[in-house]
Amino acid sequence: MESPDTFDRRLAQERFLLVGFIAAACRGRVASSDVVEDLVQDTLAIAWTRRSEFDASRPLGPWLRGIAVKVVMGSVRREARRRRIAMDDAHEIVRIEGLAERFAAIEDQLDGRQLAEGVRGCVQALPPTFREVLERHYGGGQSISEIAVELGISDDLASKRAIRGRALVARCLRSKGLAPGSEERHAADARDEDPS
Amino acid sequence: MTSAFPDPCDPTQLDDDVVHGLMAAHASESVGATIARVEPRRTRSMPSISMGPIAAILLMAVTLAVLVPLAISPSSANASEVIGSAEAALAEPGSRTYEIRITRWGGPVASRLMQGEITHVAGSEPRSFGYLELDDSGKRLEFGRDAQGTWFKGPDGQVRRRTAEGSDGREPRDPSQQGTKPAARQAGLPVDVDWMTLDSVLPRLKKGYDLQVVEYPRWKTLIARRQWMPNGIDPKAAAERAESMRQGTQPDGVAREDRGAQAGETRGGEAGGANARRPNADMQAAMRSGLVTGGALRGAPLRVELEFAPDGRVIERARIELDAPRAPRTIELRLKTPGEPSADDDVDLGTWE
Repeated sequence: MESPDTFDRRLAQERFLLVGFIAAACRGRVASSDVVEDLVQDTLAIAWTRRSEFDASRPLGPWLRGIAVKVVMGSVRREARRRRIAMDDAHEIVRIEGLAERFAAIEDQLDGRQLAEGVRGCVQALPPTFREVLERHYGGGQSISEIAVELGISDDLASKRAIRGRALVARCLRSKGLAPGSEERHAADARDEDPS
Repeated sequence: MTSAFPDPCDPTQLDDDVVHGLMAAHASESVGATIARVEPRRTRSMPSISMGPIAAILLMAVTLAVLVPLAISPSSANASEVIGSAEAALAEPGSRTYEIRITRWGGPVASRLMQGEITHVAGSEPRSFGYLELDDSGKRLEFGRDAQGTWFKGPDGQVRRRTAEGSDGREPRDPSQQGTKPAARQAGLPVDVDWMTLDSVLPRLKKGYDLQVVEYPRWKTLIARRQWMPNGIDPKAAAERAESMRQGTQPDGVAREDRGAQAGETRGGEAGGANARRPNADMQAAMRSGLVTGGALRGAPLRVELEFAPDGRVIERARIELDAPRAPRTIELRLKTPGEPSADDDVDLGTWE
């Protein structure tokens, strides 16, 4: 078992991808970003209490995501119960584990720090129209409807700007080689942009 | 032209969900920096987070170590034991009332078909009784089951009783006979009463179903999937079943009596009268060999999901998906506690972001 200090450092390094994974897994399933943060903290706390079970010679990310899958499933189930919505457990597990696979593929190529820097750079490079919507939505915790009201645009347009903004961030990450399959996809992006 | 986002099934690609997660992670790291330029954070927004102060995590970890059960991973509970303990819990003296909702699925639209209640009374005289509301006018169809068999009281007030003789009663019937009870349907029920009574459903899951138990400290769910489902179907068994259907016999090899009677003639030049029973030798052999596990199971649920109370024995919620080619139906049972309002009273129709 590694020392608590070492374990803490490794947890800190994994945090970016862990938050990303939990936020993606909770998307459309829990109403508030506060819940996502609670789940991140729950996962980290559980990881800490069970650190003696972690094999220090292995990567921490998959182990953390294993805990996160269970924490998220519990939360999604509670939310479905609260809203009295029927939930297909098996389907949810497959969906969340599919996301865990994607984050594992990202982690294979990059560490969280590199990716965090890359995302920051890509968001900064967005055209203001898109950046404003994304920053209000993710940073300010505003819903798409609230953003639409404040910007004086339709819900539909605000939603499209958010989607398009995310697509631009994805494209930017690929162009910087900060995403799995960047080369092939970047080539496809370049073809799209080149009408000839 | 390629789409804005790559194939969501490809794990090596960044899709919208992944980018959403990365944006949320970016936002959580940028609290106090990027966001400060946009808006003062509202009270419901995320608190300032930093992994720097490890002490905060330590404090939370120590707190949660006391409050949260340590075991968080699913355990591999034996499905048969789970069913056994659920049956034992149902057999304990006392009564339990479940709210019933029956939904009909057609195309992308689901419609509420009926709702009602069923009460199971266990003890020296076990019985189940309940009602379904036929429509919004408040008309009810009452039904029940006791030692004498199943009974129904329709809107006309007439009680129709199906006796406990033969395959009925509280004993589980042969799975190959499931779903073939005209008497149950004559009463106007949208589904067989057996599928609404848990003590009838539980024993049938022991044969012909793939069982999976998902267990966490606070909850446990049993998922039963019928072995006839396309993913698990044996190609040979499927071919034999198709052949059996073509020949006009049921998958267990027994001829359907009504077909010949209605047609008034033999099929395919075969000898025999209207009531001839034509065993399908291939199908019977397949059943003997265990190839066709569980027999015909026509009309039996495709999938059953049982959600248990924290004690792991009492079924709090059941979802029973019935097999019907044109209008699949789902029965949902939800345990009611005394004085609990109907689920409709606080349905939240809000959409999720």
